[in-house]
Amino acid sequence: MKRLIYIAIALISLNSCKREQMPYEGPSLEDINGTFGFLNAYKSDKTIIDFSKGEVVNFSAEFTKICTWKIEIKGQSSGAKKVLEGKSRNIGAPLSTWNGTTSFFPMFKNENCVATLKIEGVTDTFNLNIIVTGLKKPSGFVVANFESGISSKWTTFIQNGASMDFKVKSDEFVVEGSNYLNMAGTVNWDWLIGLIDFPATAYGNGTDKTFPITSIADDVYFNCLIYGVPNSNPSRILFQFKEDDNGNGTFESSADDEYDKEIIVNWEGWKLVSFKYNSLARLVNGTPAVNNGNSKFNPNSINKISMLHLANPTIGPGSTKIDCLMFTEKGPLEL
Amino acid sequence: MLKAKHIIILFTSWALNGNAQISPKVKITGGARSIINNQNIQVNDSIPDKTTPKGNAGGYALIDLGFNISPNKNTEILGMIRIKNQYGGFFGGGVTFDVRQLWVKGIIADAVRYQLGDINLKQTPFTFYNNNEDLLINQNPVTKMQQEIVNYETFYKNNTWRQQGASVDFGLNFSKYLQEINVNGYITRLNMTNFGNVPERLFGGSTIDFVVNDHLSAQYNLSSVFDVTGTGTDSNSFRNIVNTGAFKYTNTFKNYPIVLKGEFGNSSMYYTKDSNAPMLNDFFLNPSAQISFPKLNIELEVGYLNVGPDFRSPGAQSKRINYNSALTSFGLYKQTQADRPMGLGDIMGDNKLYNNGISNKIMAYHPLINNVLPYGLATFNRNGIYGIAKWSNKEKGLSADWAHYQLSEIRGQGTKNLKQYTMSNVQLGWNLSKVLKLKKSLKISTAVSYQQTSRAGDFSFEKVDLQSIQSAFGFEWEFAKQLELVGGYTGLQGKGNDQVSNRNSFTEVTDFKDYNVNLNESITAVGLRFRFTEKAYFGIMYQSFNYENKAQAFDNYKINQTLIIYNLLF
Repeated sequence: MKRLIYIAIALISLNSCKREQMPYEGPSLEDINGTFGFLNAYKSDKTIIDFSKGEVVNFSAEFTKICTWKIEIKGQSSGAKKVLEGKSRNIGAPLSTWNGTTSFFPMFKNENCVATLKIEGVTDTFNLNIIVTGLKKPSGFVVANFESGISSKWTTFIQNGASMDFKVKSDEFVVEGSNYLNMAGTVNWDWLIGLIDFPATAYGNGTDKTFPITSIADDVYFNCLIYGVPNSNPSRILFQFKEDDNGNGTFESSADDEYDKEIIVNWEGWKLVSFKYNSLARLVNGTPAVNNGNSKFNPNSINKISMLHLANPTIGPGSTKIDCLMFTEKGPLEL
Repeated sequence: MLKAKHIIILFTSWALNGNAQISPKVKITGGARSIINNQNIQVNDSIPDKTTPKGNAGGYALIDLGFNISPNKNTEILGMIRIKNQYGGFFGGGVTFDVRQLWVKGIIADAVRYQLGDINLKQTPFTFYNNNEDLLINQNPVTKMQQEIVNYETFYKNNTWRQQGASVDFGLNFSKYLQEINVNGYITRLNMTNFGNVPERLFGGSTIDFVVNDHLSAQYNLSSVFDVTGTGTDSNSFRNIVNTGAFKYTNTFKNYPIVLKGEFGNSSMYYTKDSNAPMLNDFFLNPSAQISFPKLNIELEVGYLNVGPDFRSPGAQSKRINYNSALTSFGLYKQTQADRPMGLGDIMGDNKLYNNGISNKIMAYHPLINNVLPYGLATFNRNGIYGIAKWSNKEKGLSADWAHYQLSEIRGQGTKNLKQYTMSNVQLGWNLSKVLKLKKSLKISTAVSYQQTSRAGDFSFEKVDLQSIQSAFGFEWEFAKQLELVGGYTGLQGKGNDQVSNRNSFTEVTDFKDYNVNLNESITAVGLRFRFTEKAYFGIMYQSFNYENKAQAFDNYKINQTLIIYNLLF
């Protein structure tokens, strides 16, 4: 009996002694530290591209060693920039695929672009020319892009402060399309400078009481482009998503949920801001608070979105610009 | 704040009343400490520094007040509250109240012991073990005092990890085949769900100890980290299971006591639904033999260690020091507000650097402090032999310990050539009062740890040669009744190059970072300590910590520190 137990233990032990055989772990040191050279030249599969048709450009190259590489695509007219980067022996999809999106705003135009390959530790750079003939169209539900100005179906409230400039503009700051909304002014008695309410009834045929988006909160993203103005008084943009949980066609704070997002605009220039709907919380004066509805994220029950521009009244003027307010599903907006 | 104060006052008065009325049922336990600290930093920089402060002073007083209550003979409850006051925070400002410990333990039906709440847990060096691999050698008495405070703060005691959960243990006696079986099981919570993408993560395990006879015992150990399916929105769950077997055989060989022991086992780490995640399976072996020569007071041990490159055991491979932590003192230095490199002075006294939890990631290590076994015996990708010798002479008050490890990698890192590791530790202690026949205590101690890592190669980028020495010298001289002069030196010198592996979230090697170093760190310390009792002392210490990077001279700095410590345990 004892011997059988010992034999069983020994067999189980031997069976457990399996080790995956591989020559070494990680990338080859020879691949990392060898001499740099091209095995296949740097090239793109297209030189003329129409992103509006869903086309993409693939860049490729093969090196003699593993390299840290970066492709900077720059619009010669817009100054827009897209950066693709990686660390590999081969440049290839998906890391080196450009679908017309932008890394540094403004956005690309129909223009000539130069795609420059830079390799860490190599002084030479390598250029390719790409001609963009059609632009990528943002996909998602557009809440506001200000291309037709401020809709009469939206509700606005603008304080009667000094130097108020709450207008749609089409000047050199345009980032997407032809227009954006400027929000600026000095209100020395209140944090609120101005607001716009976007009711669900402002869209479609005007009869829907909720926005036409999925009920799966984990899939829903809200996106916008915000311009940070160099300023000692950083603007705050507060989005309030007001749900109609009881289905009576209107938002009531005593019976429905509201989810809020406050964005402190502490950067300079345009920036794409995206957030997941189920990452939001109810805020009262910036502090998390309890909701009065079903306390569940119901994006398909959003009845109204309020956008408030706030700034500290004791410091001075607040100023920002905004564009491209959109819902997307399954991922953030790509511009 | 007032509410918290009132609760404590009520609790204290209730407990004290209870103590007065039914004294055997309530015991008060805890500790008190006060530290006044004054530090200044000297920086070697080419640009005059006008952006970072060069000194700081402060301190705190704290009391840990624990109420150990036994409501009945089978139950014991401990609740410990910490009241801490930063100096300068008078009249309630700067005062914090925390619950430091909370547990219940007892015996069910005179057979099963249980504990709920805070638990100190330990299994074997390959399953669940709090290694101290960043302090390989005994420290000088001044840094040792600081380490004792760190250990108290972090609950490091006898290589246990402090966890929150539940444990049970019980034993069974047999009349045939076996003498007894002892069973221990535990379950603890590593992190709680956020009801979103972070699931509930638990750590559980058990040890079954089979005592065959007076000479032979065997053990089965299980430790497992796992996500509870359904507690987050992501159905992908992490699993890391370690199974080990161990044995111990004791007898005599030609009248010399011998011990043959060993542990062997395997691990499996995987994600249930992530097709990008690898499944890492591997095993380890660690047999050893020990012989004692009682007349000579000598113990010798030789062992073999083989731990696979893919062996993963979070409970045994989590490190005490989190080398990515922000430093408490002078975290930013120089005009450029650069991050100050962590040094021995921080490691000895900054308890904020120390980790309380189990990590399922591979934690960073310091190649100069321990490159050979950074995760203790459970360090993966090691193969080789070791020897340990201990000698003591009680009459002369002498003791000496020696340990030597000769190891190599099992799987190369970016090359087929394997790194070779050597580590030798020597520690000597001498109670001179026995030899000099002094009435009062005079002790000296010294210790050295030498490490070498090397790798040959056809190319210069393959070659690795890194050497480091840790050393310590200390003395404790009781020159008046209960009053001691203490002091010593701790040093770390290292030179050479290595390549440190970068790992992804699945612990796979993705890249290598060159590590070139020529470093000299030293702590020189001296102080006076008045011992009220074994558990209470008052000390005034001065310590100078020097960080000298010969490869990058502008990183260099020196921190001088004066400490006044009062420490009491009751």
